[in-house]
Amino acid sequence: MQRILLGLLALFLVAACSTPQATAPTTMSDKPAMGPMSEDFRATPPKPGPAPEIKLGDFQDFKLDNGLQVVLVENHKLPRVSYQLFVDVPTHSEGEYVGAGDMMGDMLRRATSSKSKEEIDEAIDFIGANLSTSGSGAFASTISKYKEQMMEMMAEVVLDARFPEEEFEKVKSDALAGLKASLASPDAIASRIRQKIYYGNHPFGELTTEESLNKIDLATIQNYYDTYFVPNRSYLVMVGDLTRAEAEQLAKKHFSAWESKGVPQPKIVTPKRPDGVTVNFVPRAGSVQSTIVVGHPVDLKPGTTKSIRARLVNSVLGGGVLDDRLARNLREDKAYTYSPGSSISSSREVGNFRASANVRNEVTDSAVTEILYELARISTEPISAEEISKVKKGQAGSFGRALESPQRIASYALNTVRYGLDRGFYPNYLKQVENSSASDLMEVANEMMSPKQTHIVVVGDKAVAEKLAKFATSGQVNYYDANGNLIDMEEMAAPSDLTPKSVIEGYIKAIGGQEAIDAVKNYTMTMEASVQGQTMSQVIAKEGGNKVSTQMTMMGMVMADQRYNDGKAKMVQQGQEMPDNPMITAALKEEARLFPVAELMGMLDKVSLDGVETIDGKKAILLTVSDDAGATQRYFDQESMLQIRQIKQQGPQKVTFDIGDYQEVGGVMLPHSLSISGMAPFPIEMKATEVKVNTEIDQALFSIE
Amino acid sequence: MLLKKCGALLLFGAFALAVQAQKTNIEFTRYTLDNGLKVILHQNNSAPVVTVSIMYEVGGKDDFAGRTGFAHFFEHLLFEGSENIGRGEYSRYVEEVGGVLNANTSSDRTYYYELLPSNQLELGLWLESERLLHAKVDIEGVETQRQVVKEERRVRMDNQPYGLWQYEIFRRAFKQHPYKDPIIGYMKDLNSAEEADFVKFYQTFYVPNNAILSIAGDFEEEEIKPLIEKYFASIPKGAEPPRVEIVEPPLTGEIRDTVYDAKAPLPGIFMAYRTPERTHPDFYAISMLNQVLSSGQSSRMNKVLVDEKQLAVQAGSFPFPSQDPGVAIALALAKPGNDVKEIEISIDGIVEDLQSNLISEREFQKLRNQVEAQEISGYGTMASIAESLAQYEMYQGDANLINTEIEKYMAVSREDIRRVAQTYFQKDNRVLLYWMPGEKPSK
Repeated sequence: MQRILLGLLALFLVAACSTPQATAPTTMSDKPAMGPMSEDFRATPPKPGPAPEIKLGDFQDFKLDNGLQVVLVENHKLPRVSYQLFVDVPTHSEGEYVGAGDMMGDMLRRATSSKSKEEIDEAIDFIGANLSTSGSGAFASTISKYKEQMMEMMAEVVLDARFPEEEFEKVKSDALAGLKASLASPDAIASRIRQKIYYGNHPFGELTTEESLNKIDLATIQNYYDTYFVPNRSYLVMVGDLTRAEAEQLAKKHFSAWESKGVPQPKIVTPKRPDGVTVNFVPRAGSVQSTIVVGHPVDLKPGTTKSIRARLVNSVLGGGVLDDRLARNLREDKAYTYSPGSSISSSREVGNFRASANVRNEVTDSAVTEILYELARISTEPISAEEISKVKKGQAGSFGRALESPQRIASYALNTVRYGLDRGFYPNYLKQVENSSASDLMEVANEMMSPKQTHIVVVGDKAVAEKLAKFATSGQVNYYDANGNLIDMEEMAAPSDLTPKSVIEGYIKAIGGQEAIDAVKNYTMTMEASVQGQTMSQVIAKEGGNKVSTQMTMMGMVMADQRYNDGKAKMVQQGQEMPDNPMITAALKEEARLFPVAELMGMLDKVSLDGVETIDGKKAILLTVSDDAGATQRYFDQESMLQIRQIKQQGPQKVTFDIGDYQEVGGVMLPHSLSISGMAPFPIEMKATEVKVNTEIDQALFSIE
Repeated sequence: MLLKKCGALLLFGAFALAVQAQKTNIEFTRYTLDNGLKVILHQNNSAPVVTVSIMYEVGGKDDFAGRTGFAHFFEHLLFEGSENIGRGEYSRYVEEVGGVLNANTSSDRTYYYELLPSNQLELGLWLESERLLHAKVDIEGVETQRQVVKEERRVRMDNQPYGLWQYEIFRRAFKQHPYKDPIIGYMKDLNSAEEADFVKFYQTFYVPNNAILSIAGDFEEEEIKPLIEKYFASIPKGAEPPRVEIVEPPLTGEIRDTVYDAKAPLPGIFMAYRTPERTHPDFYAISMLNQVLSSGQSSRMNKVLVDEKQLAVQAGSFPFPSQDPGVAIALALAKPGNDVKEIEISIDGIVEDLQSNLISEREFQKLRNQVEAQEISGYGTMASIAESLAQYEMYQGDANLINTEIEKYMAVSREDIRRVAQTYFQKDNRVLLYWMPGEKPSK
């Protein structure tokens, strides 16, 4: 959540940017001459000087007795240093505990045997330094005069880590909130499905889910740390204002006591490309855009000539800056999308290639056609000399610019040592770029990008899905939920014997029947939620279908007071009373209904039955209620017929209410748990502590002066 | 439409806040051409890259009546082309050689730059000299950029949670000085800008005697000087541009208001204390006072508001350096369920403490350490060096402050920090806004 808000604040400072345009023909108007007559040399761009020799800063490396490999990139330009401890955790299955590594990384900086998080923060701030941690180590930076202290602190945080319970609760709730937020993004969903489909049972295909996060406990974290944080698979990368002698002294002093031990390295079967083309669709209700990703796993190892060429070809296809092929076709020619693109990545185990675009619903299949066309073209026709020369120049320029950063040189050094590359690989990188011919590039494209064996993944409105079946070798679309589970769309169609009326009747029966509902004159519900360590409580009282009172308190203070009493409304938020407003009055009138779903019986013309979706592994029937305020989605468990979810537009946000734990009170089933997401940057989980039906309610609660 | 490479830049005052550490020594050569163009060269051959930049002393405050947002609009137009550069070709020339380019406008200046492989240095000189000598703007270009700027305004301000905070603060903090108007301009002014305005603006401000050419990177000084001569010396000198002379009177009391923002997820509080100009000696103590408030997780606002009392999810403060007297900002976003009033009381408590008590020696040492560390980390790239040199030269008339300004920070005492807290951080010298989610209640 911090991250979301930081992003928000970052925008505060942002404003003016220039946006050169690359389209539209021009008719130059007359403009007064604003200078002397043009001199001839100005008419054409100057010729570049000879290409600069790109000298990659050298690096040194050595090994401690416990196996820790140390890489040093000396750079005395500025009096500063940075240290990275990279733990090369072997690719392994996390099984039921997917997400454990990331969570361990978040825990790492929060305590040592002698320091609390607050003490660690103070020590780092005092010297104006930075220290961050992850599931694969730590990164620190500071100015030269604190190089010793910084190394000591980093070593302490990594080697003497403690994992206290109270910090674990914060880290876990952040992880759950982060997951929930990411499932709202179609790009994130597409990325999850892509992983699942490309890699299957390979660890790269394992997805973090709410279930897996909830399984993780402190022992899992401790176990991950104990198993994988060993010196014999780690690299200490030191960059900046340090000599070899200093680096050796620092590394030995702080890391030589770290004991080496064996790490299990499971044998893992490498995922393969599919035999033909598959089409994989994730239905997302209400989407106006389709997120398309066409791609597959590739066998592409880092530090190879092939990887250099693959990167060049990808620049031509969709990794360019301005006018690569996908942009020219999908953006400029067809105007399907604003930002199509492609990427290819290498990996010791298995890399991947993908081309992607977000397009409006109606052109989804056309956009897929064009992407496949471009893949076929680049993998079977030689690339023009002009395109090749452009991407070569572009890569030479950006490679050179990147060398300004000592961190970049350090990452090359780490790759060289970690992957055992030829020491000349990076120094000769641009020569290899220069020596790549059109036929070299086509060969790589043919191997890596051919559209004959690929996966098409689309997240969007299910109405566009069946048009994509024609691309699949099987002629079939595979449907998935956001966690990568296959779903059967036939089962997902609304059963033909159901109507909105029968669903509502089912609900009425499930909560106790019309008679029991009619017998309810009033009820009160007290709910509590823990919002980041503080208890928020809410008391809702409803009576007669025309009175409601909601009081929300936190730390003894009334945060919100909302009332409705037969036509009159009052809303006080954070101590400020909102003046009369017909919108508020109408919303509170709605709130006052005792059983709003049951009352839909009187307005069936506004209710439609929109199929079946899976919620937490169970089938749920979707009713959409459309009125002046917009559409509200209500989901009913197909077995129990109880309402389990409601999605409602509130101002600019879509808010999801997950409703559960129904218990019988006074003859009717009333929910005792409510999870609200989309309102605050994190979900709010409410539990009922007391529910009463037909008791005497203090009428002062409803009074409005 | 915004292009994907659209750079994100400062709306108001774009200083490198950090200062130079004693240990760094950035050497440079500074001279002036006959036409008044200032040139600053920093030769550094450690990587084969070069930054070519020009800073013009014209910004959001230099608009004329009914034409707010002009400097920024103009920045867009100057990518349209020149006598010798066709539409859209500025970016094509740069990107084809693996370079990047962009520009930004603050309320005081406009800055254009190219980051290039060093063998393309002359390309950068050509592009920038074309822009200064004979930029070309046609009706179609004006219309296109008008739409682009309007879209930018929608994306960055109107449709952004809290996107209007600067506007809401500055229009209350200033009544006469043009800092009161948004740099990006009002929609109606963007709609009514005419071609004649552009010609006038160009001829007034885009003259060599109003510009600083700052180049940093891999070149040889004796080789670059004749090239600069070739591309820039023949550009005619212009009249001395007019400067804003309006002096904003002091606030006569606290200005409080509530702003409603349907896109904001959380209530917030924004405060602006009126502070002196960037060149005022108190700038350094004010800047360090802001560090006490919010630099690092152990700073006062973070510790009290976020960790201890858990009133806010985020808190921050910073000076807004400007050529004319400006403001320092403090802000916080409430943790759900908390009252902004409580946050206000807490911030006031922190400020009152700083007005009555000296900060501890340890906290003082932390500030000095942070200043030094930020400074050293601030000049890692040629781009940051070129911009800082130009900035120091333009605002303070001395590019060498890049090397010496840290001494001014180190001269600040604990008493100075308390004194500026007393002098400037007074309630009757501030604008205070409650920022509430939701629609403004109708009366």
